[in-house]
Amino acid sequence: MYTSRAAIRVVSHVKPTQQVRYKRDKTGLNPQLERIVSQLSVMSAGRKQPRLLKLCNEDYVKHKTVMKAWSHYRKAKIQENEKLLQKQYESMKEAVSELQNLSPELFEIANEHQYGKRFPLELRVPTEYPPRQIWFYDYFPKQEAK
Amino acid sequence: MTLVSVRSFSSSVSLGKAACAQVKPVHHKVRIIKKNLSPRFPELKYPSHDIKSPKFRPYLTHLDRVDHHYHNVLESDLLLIGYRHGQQPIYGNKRRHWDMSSPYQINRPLRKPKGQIVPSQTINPRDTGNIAKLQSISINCFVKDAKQYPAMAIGATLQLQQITGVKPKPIYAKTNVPNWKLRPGMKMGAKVELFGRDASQFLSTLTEIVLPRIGEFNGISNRAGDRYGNIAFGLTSDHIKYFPEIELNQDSWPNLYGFDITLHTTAQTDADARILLSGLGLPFVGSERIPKTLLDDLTVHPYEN
Amino acid sequence: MSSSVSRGIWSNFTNRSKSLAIKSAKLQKAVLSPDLPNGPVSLKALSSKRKYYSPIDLDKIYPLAYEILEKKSEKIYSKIEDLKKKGSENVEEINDLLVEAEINNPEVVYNSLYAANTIDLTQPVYRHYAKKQWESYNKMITMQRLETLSIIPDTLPTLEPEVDVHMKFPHNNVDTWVEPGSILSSNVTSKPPIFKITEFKESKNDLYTILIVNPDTPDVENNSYTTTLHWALKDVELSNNDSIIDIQKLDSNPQYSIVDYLPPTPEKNLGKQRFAVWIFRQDGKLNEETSKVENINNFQIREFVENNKLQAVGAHAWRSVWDLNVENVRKEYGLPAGRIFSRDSF
Repeated sequence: MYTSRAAIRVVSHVKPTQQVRYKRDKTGLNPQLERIVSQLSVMSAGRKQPRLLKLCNEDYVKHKTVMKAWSHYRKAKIQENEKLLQKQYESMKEAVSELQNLSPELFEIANEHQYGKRFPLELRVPTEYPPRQIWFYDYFPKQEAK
Repeated sequence: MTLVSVRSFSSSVSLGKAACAQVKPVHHKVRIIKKNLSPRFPELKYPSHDIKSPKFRPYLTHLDRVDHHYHNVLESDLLLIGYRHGQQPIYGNKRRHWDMSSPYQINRPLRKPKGQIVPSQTINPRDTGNIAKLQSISINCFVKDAKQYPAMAIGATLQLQQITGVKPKPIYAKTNVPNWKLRPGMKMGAKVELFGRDASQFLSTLTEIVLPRIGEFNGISNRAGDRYGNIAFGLTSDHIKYFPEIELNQDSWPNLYGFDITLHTTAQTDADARILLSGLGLPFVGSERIPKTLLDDLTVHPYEN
Repeated sequence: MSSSVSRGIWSNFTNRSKSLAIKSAKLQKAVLSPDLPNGPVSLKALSSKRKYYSPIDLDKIYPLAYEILEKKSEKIYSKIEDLKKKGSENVEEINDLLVEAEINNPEVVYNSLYAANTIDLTQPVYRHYAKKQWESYNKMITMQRLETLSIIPDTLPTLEPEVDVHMKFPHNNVDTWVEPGSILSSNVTSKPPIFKITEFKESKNDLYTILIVNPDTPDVENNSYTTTLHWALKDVELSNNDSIIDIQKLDSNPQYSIVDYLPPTPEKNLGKQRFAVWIFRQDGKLNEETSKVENINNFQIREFVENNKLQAVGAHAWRSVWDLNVENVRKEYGLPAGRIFSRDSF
């Protein structure tokens, strides 16, 4: 592997890199090789493994309790969301079928497929803090040039 | 002829030895996990959600903005946009059964679908169960020059890791092209697939910082996509410098490498995926082509197979 | 800060068993307080106690988590009350609910993790945890050894294990359970073993049969092997809180014994002998006639099981090999002198 400094030597960027076993000298590595070695060391697995937390038995049980409660809470939230969507779906279905009975022409228009619809680009994923300028009062969306 | 195995006291070799290798039969139904029986590596026996396991990662550490936005704003709108009263499933072209006119057809794998090799997917009516969602983002960075300068593949890997915060996997050349001096097994770059929080983080960097600053970028082509809800586009090496991780430390990046980004969604069609992605802040340009089969989804199509 | 986090059902022991609490008052205080008022009690060394720090903000989040889970448990307990009021006969449903109500109780979790030997198995939740523990190790190792030593199908065709079987010998006061399939010296096995049979269902005065057989007794005339019965017990009464079969129990209940213990005395040059322990659950008391064993040297275990309608629920095994102490064991039990097998005798 590339972990050993002595195992690699790159003469220059232009020439292909070669792996030659050579004796370590005092001048050290050339800058080209130095860069590759440092690049590889950034990606090495050793840096990714955080140290294991050691908990005493009491804190371990407490931690388990917290995780369990948290998963219960999240599960309840997901179920609530699913229920809401289901409710929305049922009412949509009911509304459209009623429209079909009342006015078939309006139903035809309402039941067109919506391919090609886009959310406006101005719709932003909300941030935790508001921007410096809260609202662009003079903003008008650009007219599409045709 | 049946051979009855007799275990005799004077010899240890059982009679009626089979002429071929046999798997020893098991006389019970208990599944044995060898890892649990070995006294080595006791910490690997914990499940990955246990804090004692080395695999444990505290992944729910802060609010996922994109996910939050999806659930609070987009999800119900997408349900509404996708809904069509009386929508019918559009059946895909599936593998066919043999007509069994020949005895050789017994135990054969199913026939190829009509007119194609890979079966196509069935598109079901939209309901609460199949609202489109961003599943993952995969980034593929193939460096052409890496065949000549292998160090470039390392640089590309590091660049991906810096941008995404996830360890990339190397990609290797698969084919042998003597004219290009390309051999199978040469390291040609890196790829990474982002899920959950990593994907959200990458997407918000992309839509809020990188794409707005690319002058020539007007949007993702409306023609992009693989028909089943996965949309891909590319960034060239000139665009990479807008990523804040690269921009802040430009001196240490003498060469940058462009990459392809694929947005994997659970949408059943590309058109649905584009509606979802537009809600996540990605613009689309060009004319959109909707396949005719998708448009007449109110008529009942028979399932042919 | 260090007041108890429990204000609801989990600190109320009027209808709940006291065994659901942690026995040691210090430990209980540590588990039921948001922080650790007396430091980490479970750490023994003073230096590690001093070095220890709890995770940041665990003391703030833990009471909230406890409250959520306790409220859930309260709901389940009220459901159980409703079921009982309706006069529901479904014991299994109530037991499942009792497990669900207590499974996340930190005190119960603590006991089942760190005091697994002393938990009260009459409580469904502890039985649930004990079963999990058994399935993660003991069940698998027993079945693996039975299979690799060919005890199934050499003695009985198969086993669907339901109970955890622990076995040890009263030898030298060594208080460790024998791992299934280990090779024991004749000195160790000279006295009858002690069993601990753990049931994971509710069990009150269930009856058990125990057989120890050796399927490797040489039968030179027929150039084959026979099975010897080394020990047979019947109608052994066990329940969830009384699961040990030891010498005191056998002395006070001489009616348990069908065949007295015959210690393993392997012959020289015969290799390792397998000793299979089979535990059967009985429907009722065994029939005197069918449970009689006439010839222990040619014991037909499958026939015995079939005649008495026994259901195999657990097994254990060890192996013995000839050693220098075999002669002493023979003398002690008044057995005839052993034979020596060699190549010349054939």
